[in-house]
Amino acid sequence: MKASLSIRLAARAAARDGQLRENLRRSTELSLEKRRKLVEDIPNYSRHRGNLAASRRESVRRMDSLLAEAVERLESAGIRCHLAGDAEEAQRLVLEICGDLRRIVKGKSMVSEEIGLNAALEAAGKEVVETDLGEYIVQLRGEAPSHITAPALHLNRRQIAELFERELGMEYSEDPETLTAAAREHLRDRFLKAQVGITGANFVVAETGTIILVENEGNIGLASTLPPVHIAVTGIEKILPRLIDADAALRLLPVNGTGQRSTAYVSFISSPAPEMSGPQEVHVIFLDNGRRRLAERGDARALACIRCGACLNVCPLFRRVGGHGYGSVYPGPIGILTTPFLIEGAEGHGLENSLADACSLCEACAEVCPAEIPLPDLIRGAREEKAAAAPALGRITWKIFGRLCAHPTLFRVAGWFARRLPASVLRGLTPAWSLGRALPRSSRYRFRTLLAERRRR
Amino acid sequence: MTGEQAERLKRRFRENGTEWRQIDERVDLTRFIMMAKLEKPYAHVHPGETAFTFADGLIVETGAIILSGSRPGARRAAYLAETHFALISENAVFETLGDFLSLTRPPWHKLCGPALTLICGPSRTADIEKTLVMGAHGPRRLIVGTAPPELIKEMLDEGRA
Repeated sequence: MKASLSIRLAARAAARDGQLRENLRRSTELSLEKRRKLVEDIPNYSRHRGNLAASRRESVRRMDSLLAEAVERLESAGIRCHLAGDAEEAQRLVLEICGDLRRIVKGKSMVSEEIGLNAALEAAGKEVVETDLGEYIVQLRGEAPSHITAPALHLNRRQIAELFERELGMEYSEDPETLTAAAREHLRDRFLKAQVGITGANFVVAETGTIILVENEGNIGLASTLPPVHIAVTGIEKILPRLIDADAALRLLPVNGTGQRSTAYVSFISSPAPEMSGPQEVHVIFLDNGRRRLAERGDARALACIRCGACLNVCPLFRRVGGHGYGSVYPGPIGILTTPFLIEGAEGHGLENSLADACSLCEACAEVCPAEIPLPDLIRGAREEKAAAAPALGRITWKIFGRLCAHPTLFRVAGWFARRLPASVLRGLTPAWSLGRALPRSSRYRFRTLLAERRRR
Repeated sequence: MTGEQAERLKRRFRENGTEWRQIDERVDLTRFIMMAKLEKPYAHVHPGETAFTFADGLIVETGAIILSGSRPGARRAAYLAETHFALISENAVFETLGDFLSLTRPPWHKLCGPALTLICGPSRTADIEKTLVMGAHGPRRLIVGTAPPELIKEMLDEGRA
């Protein structure tokens, strides 16, 4: 119950932060508006969505065979593949590949956040720098990203200007162009001196053995073409069966992620670079870290996620509290489902239980999800599981309440007693539910009386 | 490329921030290359310089240029440069990404080399208050020249001689 309380407190603090709420509202609304226009404009949008959903279902269903196929194709083209069972193993693999190489540049990767890669690399004495502008900003602040595709969504230009003035020693400026140019300048030097580039992989194609990287800034391109060693870290659920499956995936990811028809860059990497024109060593680390367990014990449909972040942008709860309120690198509706399995220490701390509550079941996320994941159904499932494991007293109270609701006379009698009991007693009857909820004072006017009066009139 | 395709491409290029030069005559092609200050074609580009690449095709639906890594160093140059000039044969046009992917599927390595990048406009970011800024880590300008294939061939032959 301790962890669940801390999440509620984090969420409450976030909801009170007016600045944060304003930033969140503006940026999520902008993404949604751009998305809406594109969805209307793209011919056969729903057909592409159906194609993506079908291909993602196949990816999840055939996870192991696709992994074997991808590894075989990648290895035959000279790309070294590694399998990591958990976060610790993935960290160890990255450190082994790095060996003596110290200077590391990173492209944005949710999986590397998931396994806490930066902390592990720094602990081993590596110099690791995030190069995506938003990630760079949150790294300088010592924070975690607050959104899957927009890591610094929770900050405004004043906060970033102050940060850059302090950390980069530049003249104070709130102009996004000046701030971006300063980051570019600082990071260009790091790129040129880097010995290892670490990125995620948006997809890996089993059929052709191809790593697909999607980005706008060009930092992932630099991280995967400048240093002599490139390491891509990705989840075992991200493997597309066929190259043509990338068609729907690459159409829908930018539309739903950032409201773009296409991102500035999409790279397909199929082997190490020839003639010293890029990395001579390319590695892919395929990470399980709870994914197989999720497929077995949770609902495997959650693994179809392509990490676009659209479900975050439409979620009324996310739009109030932001990513940090969830206490997980995977926030929002999809985070409710994946966090208990993918984030170390989450399970057994009651975290998954409290997250299942972080949803109003408004179903907006199911409408936008490009992979057609029925998120509200899955969250409802998680709640049912939670209810089954809830404290016995609360369970019994709810069962009795259910009975009372079905019998008008009993309900009336119980209501008469309930109005005369102190609030603390009522709250005590449902300990888990009462946490973080206020009990309204009972009204002098009863609904039944009001209804009867209206009928008479 | 049909006139109708050219119209749609123009719209996409404008959305993406790509500058477009339609080249019909030899003199314009020479001018395009002079603009790119082509000294060491796609070999080594230092930061802040211009890059000149021969791109492999265009995708009309998104306005992407297709840059394969079969010419060593081309991709790296396209990320490092301040301004990226890309010359493309005007008959290498694909309607959609799907058309391109289904064509390249069976001999993927042979056709596309070790790596391939689709580029839609200059590098950009909107990480600060969702304000769009061009020139994040890669080029601030992308200038695409399309020319008839025979014109490009003629130029290459002369270059060799």
